[in-house]
Amino acid sequence: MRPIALIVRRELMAYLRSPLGWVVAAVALLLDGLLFNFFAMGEGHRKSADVLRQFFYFSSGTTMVASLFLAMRLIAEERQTGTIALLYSSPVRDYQIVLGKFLSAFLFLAGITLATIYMPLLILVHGKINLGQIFAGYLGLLLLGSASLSLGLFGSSLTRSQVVAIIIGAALLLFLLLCWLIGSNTERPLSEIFSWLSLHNKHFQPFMSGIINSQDVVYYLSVTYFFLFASTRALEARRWSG
Amino acid sequence: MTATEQKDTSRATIRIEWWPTVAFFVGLVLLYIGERAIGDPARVRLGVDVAAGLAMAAGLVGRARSLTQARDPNHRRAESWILIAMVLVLAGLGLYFLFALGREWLRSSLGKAFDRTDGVAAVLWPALVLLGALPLVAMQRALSAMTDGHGHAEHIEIRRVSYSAHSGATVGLVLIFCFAINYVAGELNKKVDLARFRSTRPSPATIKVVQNLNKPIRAVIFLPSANEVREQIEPYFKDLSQQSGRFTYEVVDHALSPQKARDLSATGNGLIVLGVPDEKNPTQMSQREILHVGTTLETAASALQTFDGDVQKRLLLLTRPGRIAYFTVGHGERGMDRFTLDLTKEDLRAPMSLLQQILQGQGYEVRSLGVGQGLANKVPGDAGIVFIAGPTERFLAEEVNALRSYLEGGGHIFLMFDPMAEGPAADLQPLLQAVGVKFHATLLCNDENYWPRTHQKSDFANIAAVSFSSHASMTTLSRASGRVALVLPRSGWFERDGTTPPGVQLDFTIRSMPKTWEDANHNFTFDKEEKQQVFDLAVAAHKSVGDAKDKKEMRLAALGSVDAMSDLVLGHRPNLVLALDTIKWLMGDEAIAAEVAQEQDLPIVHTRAEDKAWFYLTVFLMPTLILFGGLFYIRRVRRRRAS
Repeated sequence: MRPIALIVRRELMAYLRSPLGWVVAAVALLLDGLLFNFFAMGEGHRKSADVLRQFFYFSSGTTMVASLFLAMRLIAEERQTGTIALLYSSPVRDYQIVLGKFLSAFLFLAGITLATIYMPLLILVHGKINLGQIFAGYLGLLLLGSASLSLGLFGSSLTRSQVVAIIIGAALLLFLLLCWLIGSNTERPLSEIFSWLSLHNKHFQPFMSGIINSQDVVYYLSVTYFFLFASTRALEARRWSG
Repeated sequence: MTATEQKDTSRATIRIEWWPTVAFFVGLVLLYIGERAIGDPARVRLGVDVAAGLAMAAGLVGRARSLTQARDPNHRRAESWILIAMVLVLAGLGLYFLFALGREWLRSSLGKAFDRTDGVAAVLWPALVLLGALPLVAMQRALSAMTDGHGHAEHIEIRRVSYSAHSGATVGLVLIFCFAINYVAGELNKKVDLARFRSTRPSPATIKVVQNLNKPIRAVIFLPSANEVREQIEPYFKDLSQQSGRFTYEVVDHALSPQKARDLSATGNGLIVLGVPDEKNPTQMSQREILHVGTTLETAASALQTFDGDVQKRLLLLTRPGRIAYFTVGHGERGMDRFTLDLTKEDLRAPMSLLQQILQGQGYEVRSLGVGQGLANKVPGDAGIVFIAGPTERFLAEEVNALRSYLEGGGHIFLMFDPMAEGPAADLQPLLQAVGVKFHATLLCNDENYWPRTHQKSDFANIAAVSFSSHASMTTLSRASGRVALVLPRSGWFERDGTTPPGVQLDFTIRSMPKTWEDANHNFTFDKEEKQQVFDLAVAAHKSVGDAKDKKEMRLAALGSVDAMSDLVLGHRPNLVLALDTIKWLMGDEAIAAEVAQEQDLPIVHTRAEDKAWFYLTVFLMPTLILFGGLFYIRRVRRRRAS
């Protein structure tokens, strides 16, 4: 655990001490604020549950994009600057590197996500608020962010270029987002598999409405686990891919 | 993938072919398109399938050729592993086609074991494809990494190929594990619904209705087993059944109990039939009420929000049927239309449509009562309660006499005054005299505790009250005395009129806040000649009448502000509670006086100025704080490091 904790601390400091982390956080909040005002609040009178649902819908978009930007540098930057050799030569195992980097990015992302709490709380000024829906929504955002981060980390583990890393991550994310479309244009049993794989449509929408399904939680955790495992394998691939 | 060895004059090199693997995967993709994306026409589908088969066969042959030509032992081993991976993929596909094309033949051959075998095959074929394809890609990548960039390798490092195969296989196994976990999670899914506002728990009011049932009531819930709506509402009825032996319930599936569904006129699942069981045949119901909820949470969402109120309404309809509420008309009383600010309307005063809805929710039939309906003669004998809602025009003496006769004969009247209308207030004074009370039709104001509606001085007339007596009509409010405020826009006040008539129990139920004054000159300002004090804003009086055989109780509730019961403020929770509890007391239902669990989401109402404030706060302030806070932190860290 100690090597993981050290990596988490080091990476978290890297986020906090580089403008990138703060810029990503500020831009994510700015976008969330704009979307909250123009779309979630909208014009006319809306019920608080609808406003919250819309807020989580738009926040999920910024969370996914922020995840990719936070993840792109995690391993690709180490390769780009050559510091990966230091990590390889240190007494740290590959899975510890991946887990440490993932946890640091996740903590930072969780900070950004939870910093938006003032928006739903503003609804309290003139409407009712359902704390259960807020809890479920943020749980969904954190799970979605965790899955997106692991996708981005996998992209980052495959290349030395941060641009290519974010493109790979975005392509994977887009594939999982559009799985519902593939599922609706194919036949059983693949249609069921693709529909199940749908990252947002199938699994995030219940969270927006305040419903927590154990199957959705398991889905996000398994996506996270799979891509972290794949990232570890990609990192280990140096031993056989040259 | 194909590999050939070429001999150079100086040293031997091994050629690593990549095209067989590519051809194999192109074939796989084409097969997917042919089988899954192209349904019709069949000829196109067949063409794509054939092209896929050819591409995969080419890949397989190329790889086999490469194996036969390999001289280096390590190269031969690597090629054989790749070939095995391809065969695994083909085995998976073979299994798929076996069950897709030979389904009927297998069913007849395997008999009862078919379903189980089919389930195993459905899991096994994608697993085989994955366990073949992923190591295949990994091994190809490992081999390609050993070449000089032009497809030639000096030697094959078999450990690297082995490691890559192992890596690909473990990724495949993890993927299969993830699918399996998700399948199980889908089958054993548990849903926690935090979405709705409190709805599907019986409120104290409904519990009291059930505890005071005067006849047995049975609820039959038509929902299938393992249904999400059933999970929500069954505990509700279980709670109710524990309150009284007279209330029972059962859950039945419409499809499994068609006879019962026919007997109760239930057309499908998603219905709740509440009824009084027939004494002779308990399976039948002599009276029944049907409540529609739906079978999915989505369709049931709105029904569940008002579920408790709806159940209570039906229970009251079943146990206290035929109750009629009359509203006097023809004296400028408040209307019953919905509250809309329509400046073209002649009457801009807030109507009583919400009060009417509450009455209907309590099982009342609402009717009008004027001269045309015989008010000048007598109040109809079926009147359960008579409402006089803020008249502004004079009553005939005959009408007042009829109302007084009705009251003294054991009737129930809810009298709501408009303090701006002195004439009708004076006309109705005999009703108050019957209980020894006098009404003062003068406007009360308070400049410290009021409801700011227009932000003008006239808002001082929207007084608040936080002090309530312990009278039965104040059951709920008295528990929150001092903590909740009633809003009474434009209120007059009451005082005793001499000695209370014999037998009358009189209670002043609502008191104004201190420093309230009688604004005699209507300038909404406290003048020197005016006096600040506490006023009585409502009264409740009752008296037993009739002989021992036909004992009745006259009940009168009078309120100084008709607007307190109008659509203007009836959405305010304490005012709503006052209306409910007063009606229940008037009808002798005080035992069931309590709040209904009907907490619904409300629209967010905000002004343009508030919109702006929200906009700047959410869009600019927080991101700017985060950005500059972060940059300031970075600068501090760098300076510290530099020093």
